[in-house]
Amino acid sequence: MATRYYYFQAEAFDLAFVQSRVPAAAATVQVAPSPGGTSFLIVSADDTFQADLFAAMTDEGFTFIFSSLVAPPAFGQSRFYGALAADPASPPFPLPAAGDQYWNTTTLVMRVYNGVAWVNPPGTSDTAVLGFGAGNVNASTTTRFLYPWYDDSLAQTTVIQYRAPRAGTLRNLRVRQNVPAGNANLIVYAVRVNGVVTFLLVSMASTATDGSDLVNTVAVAAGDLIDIRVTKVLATGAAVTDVAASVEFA
Amino acid sequence: MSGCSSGYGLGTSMAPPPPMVAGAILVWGNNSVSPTTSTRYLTSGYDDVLAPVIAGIVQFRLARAGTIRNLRVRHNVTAGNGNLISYTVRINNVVTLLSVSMASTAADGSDLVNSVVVAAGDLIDIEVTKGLDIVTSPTFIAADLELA
Repeated sequence: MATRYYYFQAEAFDLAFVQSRVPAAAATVQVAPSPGGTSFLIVSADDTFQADLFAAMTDEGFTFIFSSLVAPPAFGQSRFYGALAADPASPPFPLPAAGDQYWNTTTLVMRVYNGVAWVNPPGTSDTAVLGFGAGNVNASTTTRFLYPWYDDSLAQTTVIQYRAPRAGTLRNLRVRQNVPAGNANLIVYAVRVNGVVTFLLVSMASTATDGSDLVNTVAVAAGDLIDIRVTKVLATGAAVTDVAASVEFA
Repeated sequence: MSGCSSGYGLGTSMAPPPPMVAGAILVWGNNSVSPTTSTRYLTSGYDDVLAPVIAGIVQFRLARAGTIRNLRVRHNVTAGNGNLISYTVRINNVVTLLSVSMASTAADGSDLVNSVVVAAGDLIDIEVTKGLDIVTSPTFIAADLELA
């Protein structure tokens, strides 16, 4: 007969109390400190799921996490939790160790538990930030293009593209109109890849200070041409100035 | 083994792996920061003009969260009387501890000690201040920092 491992979470952990409530069939109780010191593990010699053990513990207010036939790793061993949408409020397993990791499916980065909190591991999930800007985007409906990073002059009608030095994903476009102006007609700042407009764009009133697209993403290949195009369907009356856009290059 | 001289290849001894993707590098710069004590703000990227005062500030929002650190400032052409120039990173218009104070006659300055946690969407800029006139401004100034 194999051993089964039961994981519980308690508001406050009291070893003697837990031991007194464990049915006789469950052989031992192992203390498994968690960040709050409240997770614990019960090791049973019976590999079938024990309903009486489960009921006894949950009746005492302990939160059942899961049971497994796989032994937990020893202290100091790190584990990979697989894919999760967010940092677990408490690690999904007791015995959290510095070095535990999981793949965050929301932000698309690896996360590592440093012994205190979940963080991005330095040097593995950091992403680049690209900048574009112009001192003036003009009030007319003429299509213009932002400069790479910034130039304190009128945005050009001739595009200044540059090639992506590596493959990746463009996302989180934010546009700052440092000096908004005009009649509030819309200005569209669209990321283009190889001269083709993408879904990564911001449409904002000329009188707005900030706009963003935190939803859409664009995959780029190494060597793709990148630029940001500025268009208006209607003239804005006065020119927005000191425009700076940033986009994350993951 | 053949043709492998890096130390990472098959058949060679164990060696540290090459670095993974590093933090982003953000750059600011201007041709001049003015010889007077007027507060000025560096332009993101580089613009070959005098750094603007507050009325012409060009801030941008950070595309992601992280930690900014390792601020380095380069006076490519030093000048002036050696009085101090301070380059201070501001987040959401508030000065941070990430700052370089260097003589106008110094070529390089850095703050490799302080770091600042930033959130996605924070406004960032670099403020330039002087307690005293420097007579002549250094030129071709470039500042960079790491967004880890």
